[in-house]
Amino acid sequence: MDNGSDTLIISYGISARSMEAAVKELRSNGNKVSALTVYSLWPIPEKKILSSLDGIKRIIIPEMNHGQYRHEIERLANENVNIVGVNRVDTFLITPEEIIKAYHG
Amino acid sequence: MADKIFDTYIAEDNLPYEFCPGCSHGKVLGAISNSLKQQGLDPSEVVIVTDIGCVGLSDKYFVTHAFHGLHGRAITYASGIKMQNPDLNVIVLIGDGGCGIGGHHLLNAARLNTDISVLVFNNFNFGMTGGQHSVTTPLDSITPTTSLGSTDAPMDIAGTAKVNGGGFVARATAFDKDLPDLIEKAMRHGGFSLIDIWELCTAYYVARNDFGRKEMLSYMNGMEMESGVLQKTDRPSFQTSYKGIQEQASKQKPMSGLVLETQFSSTLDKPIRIVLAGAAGQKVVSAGNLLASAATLSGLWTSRRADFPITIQTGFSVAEVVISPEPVLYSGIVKPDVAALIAPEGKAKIARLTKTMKKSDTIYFAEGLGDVESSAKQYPLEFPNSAQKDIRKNISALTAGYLAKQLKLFPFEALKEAVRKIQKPKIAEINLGILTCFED
Repeated sequence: MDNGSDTLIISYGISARSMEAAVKELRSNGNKVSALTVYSLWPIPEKKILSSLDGIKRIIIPEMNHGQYRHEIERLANENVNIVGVNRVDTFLITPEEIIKAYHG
Repeated sequence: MADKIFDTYIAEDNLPYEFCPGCSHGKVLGAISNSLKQQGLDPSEVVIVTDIGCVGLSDKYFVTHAFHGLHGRAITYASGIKMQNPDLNVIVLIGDGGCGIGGHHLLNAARLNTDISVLVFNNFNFGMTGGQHSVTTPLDSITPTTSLGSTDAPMDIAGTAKVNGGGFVARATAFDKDLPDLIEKAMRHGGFSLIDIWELCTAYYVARNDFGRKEMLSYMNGMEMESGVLQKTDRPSFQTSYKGIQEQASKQKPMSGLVLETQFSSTLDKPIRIVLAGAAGQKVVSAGNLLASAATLSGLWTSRRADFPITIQTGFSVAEVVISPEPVLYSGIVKPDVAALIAPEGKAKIARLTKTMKKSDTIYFAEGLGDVESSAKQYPLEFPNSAQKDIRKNISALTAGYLAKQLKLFPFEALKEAVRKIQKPKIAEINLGILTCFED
């Protein structure tokens, strides 16, 4: 977590590695960003996710599908939070650059 | 064995049975109770696992343990219970409907010879839901789902268990006086046992098809599905075999992973992304492994991915290697820094990648594979003269050696050490021989 960041990236599996690379790059350029890797998708670690949402205005969710986990996060998050998906279904990994692009919106 | 004698294993407080008048289920439950009585089993040693359907109403009528789950899956629950506690006597009560829905569980439990007893309450239709046709419904039968007569060949449940290796297989009817004895034989058998018990569903199948006890027996004869014990084998149960192989395995030394300790050093200061693109049979993936392992031996971080068609020994073969002084988080390659093309299949496969390469990047190509549509610098793979004899068979290992020399990512000795560490002795000997050409 990055105190003072209003953007949280949530990812899991291999996409979480791209997220880590993106976070490293963003922070080295002075951007504030928090990240959460979910290790147990189901049951959904609701308490842990909810406790990460304090002060968060935007959530970016990279996942290699059409946004299935994003729906679960939408269910948990306050309706004022802007939720953005970064999705790929063409067998290629999500790149750190795609996540950085989503961050800069 | 039971400490005290039980007159019945039926939970009499729950009687009478809620089955329809004339239904055979109660008869079979009585036979099970009598069988448990003559075996003198303690109710705590018995688990009755019921499937869905009218037969699924049965567990509450017993004073034993019971388990009730999803339709068609009773055999899987029973197998799990038996694996967890092999001392229990596990009996499955399932209908012909469940045998259809969970057909492959039945096949595999028989194949495994898992030590459970499956009693099939086979009344030729889905009684609980109104008599729809099941896998055992006789040809031409009228049911709500076969209103003009069933056209499907009926499944022979006992025959299926038999040909799939079930240890003890029998066929019977609910009216057989010796059913308790047959159930005892099935339960005492050390392995999978199944009794296909033919029954009457008076509410539906019987009413619609003029199918009474007499007609059922004549159908049995007509189908040449004789009653009695059909198969009894000495094959050890899955539980016995599994215990045996576990004991055997515990005597063997645990597998130890290959550890590549840092033995060399490198001056690489930023990640480099390398793609080797060839054809099946060229050992492209092995060459990628060698580069990655040599880098690891030199204290670097690496990822190595391989791409090839589902069918092997045909088509392209591509190895993607990322070598970095820092941990490799993203292991994909959007734009290679270096590409080596060693077969037309690989060249075509990575055309989308070579196209993205810039002036500062480098493509090495084998004979005839030049003129790549790319801004990258392009050079032929020029192997030493002494290597010419090896090009046809071992171009991948040569390419790994060539790249190690050209790119100087790590000492050449690290590549040789990788060959010794990760390859089988025979292959290692060949490859070390091939690599000497770079040291002349």
